Amino acid sequence: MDDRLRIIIAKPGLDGHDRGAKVVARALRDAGHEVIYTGLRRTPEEIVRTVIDEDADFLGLSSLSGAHNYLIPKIIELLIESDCGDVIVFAGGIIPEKDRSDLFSKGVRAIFGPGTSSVQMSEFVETASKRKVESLPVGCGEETDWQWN
Amino acid sequence: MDINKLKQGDRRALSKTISLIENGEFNSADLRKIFPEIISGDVWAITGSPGVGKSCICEYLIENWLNSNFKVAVLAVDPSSPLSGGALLGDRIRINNSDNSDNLYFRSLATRGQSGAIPSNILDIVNLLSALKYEKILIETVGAGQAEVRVAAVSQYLLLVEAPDSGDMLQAEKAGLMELADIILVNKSDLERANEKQEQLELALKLSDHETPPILMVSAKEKNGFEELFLEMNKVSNNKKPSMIKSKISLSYAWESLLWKHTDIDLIIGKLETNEITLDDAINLLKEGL
Repeated sequence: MDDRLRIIIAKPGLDGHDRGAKVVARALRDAGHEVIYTGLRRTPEEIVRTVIDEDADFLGLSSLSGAHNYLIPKIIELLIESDCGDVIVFAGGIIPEKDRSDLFSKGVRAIFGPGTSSVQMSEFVETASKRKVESLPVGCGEETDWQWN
Repeated sequence: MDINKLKQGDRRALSKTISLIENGEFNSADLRKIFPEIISGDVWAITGSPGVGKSCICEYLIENWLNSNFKVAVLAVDPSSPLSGGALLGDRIRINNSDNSDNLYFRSLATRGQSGAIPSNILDIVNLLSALKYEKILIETVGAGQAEVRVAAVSQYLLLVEAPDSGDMLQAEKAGLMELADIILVNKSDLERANEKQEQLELALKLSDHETPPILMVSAKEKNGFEELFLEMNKVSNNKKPSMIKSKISLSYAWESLLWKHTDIDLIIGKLETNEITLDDAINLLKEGL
C-alpha cells in the first residue's frame, strides 16, 4: 500500500504568524507526504470544508494567538458533525502546559511546541497512521486515551 | 466507497472517490457503471509561467461563476517532489475564496507519477465532476513550456496567462501552448511594459497561418479588464470550433495513459534498465499486451 498521506496544515483565527506552519509543511513534504497549507486566518468552518474537499488523513492546527482553547475544540466538534471523526488532529505553536490535557481529552492526539524536531513530527505521523491501519482508535472523534508526547 | 452518498452529491464521498482515482483504483469505466450518462461541464484550463498571476485570476473566475450561481469545481495542480514523492500544495494560500462556498469544490492535486505537468488520471477526475453536475471545471497548472500542451488534452478551453517581463518563456511557448490557447491574457496591465508584451505576442501570432486567439489585457491587482475576459470566455464556450491539433494531443495523451496502465510495464522498464532488451523489443512487447 501507498504510505503517502494527505496532511492539512491550517492557521485558525486571527493570528498572522506562520513561519512554524510553513516549516512543518515543508518537513512533512520531505517525508514523502502531500501537504496542503491553508494560509492565514481561516475560520473553523473553512478549515473543515478544506479537510473534506482534500480528503485529508491528518489536520495540523497552528496557533500562536492564545485562542486555542476555543478554536481547536470548535474545529473538532465540526469535524465530528461532518462525519470526519476519523481525521487525526494535532496542534502546534504556543500552547501552555496547563491547557494541554484538556485539548488531548477533546481529541487532539499530539501537541508540538517550539524546539520540536521534524523527525519527531514524522514519527508521530507514521505511528498514528499505523494505528489507523490497524483499526485502533486514533481519529479526533474516536474514544481513546492514546496520545503522543 | 459509498455509491449512494456519491450519487447524492456528498462532498466527502466525492473526495474519497477522487483519492481512489489518484491511486488507480477507480476509473471512467467504473464511473460509467454508476452514471451511464455523463454530460460534460465546461472545462477550462489556466496555465502560464510561474509568477504571472494565475492564482489571482482564478480567484476572479471563481467569484464570477459563483455570482452567476454555477456549481464550480477547481483542480489545482502542483508538482510532486521527484526525490521524496511528497508535495507541497499551496494554491489555497493565494486563492482566498477556495474554502468559503458550498457551491465550490476545491481540490489540490500533486502530479505524482512519470507524466510530468499534470496527473495522469486527471481526465477521470474531470469526468467524475461532470457526472456530479459541476458546470464549470477549472484546472490550474504550472506552465513550464512545451510539456504543458497536455493540458489541452484534458480541457475544452485553454486560457494562457502571460505577464510583462516573462519574455524568456516566449520562445518555448511559441512552439506549443500559444497555438492552442483559446484566449491569451496579459496580466499586470498596470505595469508599464504590459503594452510592449501585448505587441510582442501579437507580432508572434501574426506570423502564424492559423486563426489566432484574442489577446486581452487584465490587471488582477487593480481588478481591471475582467468584464471583457468574462464576455470573451462566454463567446469561446458558445462557439467551440473543432481542432485537429487538440484531437491529436488528446489521442496521444490517452495513448500514453494506456502505456502506464500496461500490466507488464514495470517488467519491461526493468529489462530496458539492464539492457536485456532494446527499445524496439520493448515496443513490440507493449503492442502484444494491448
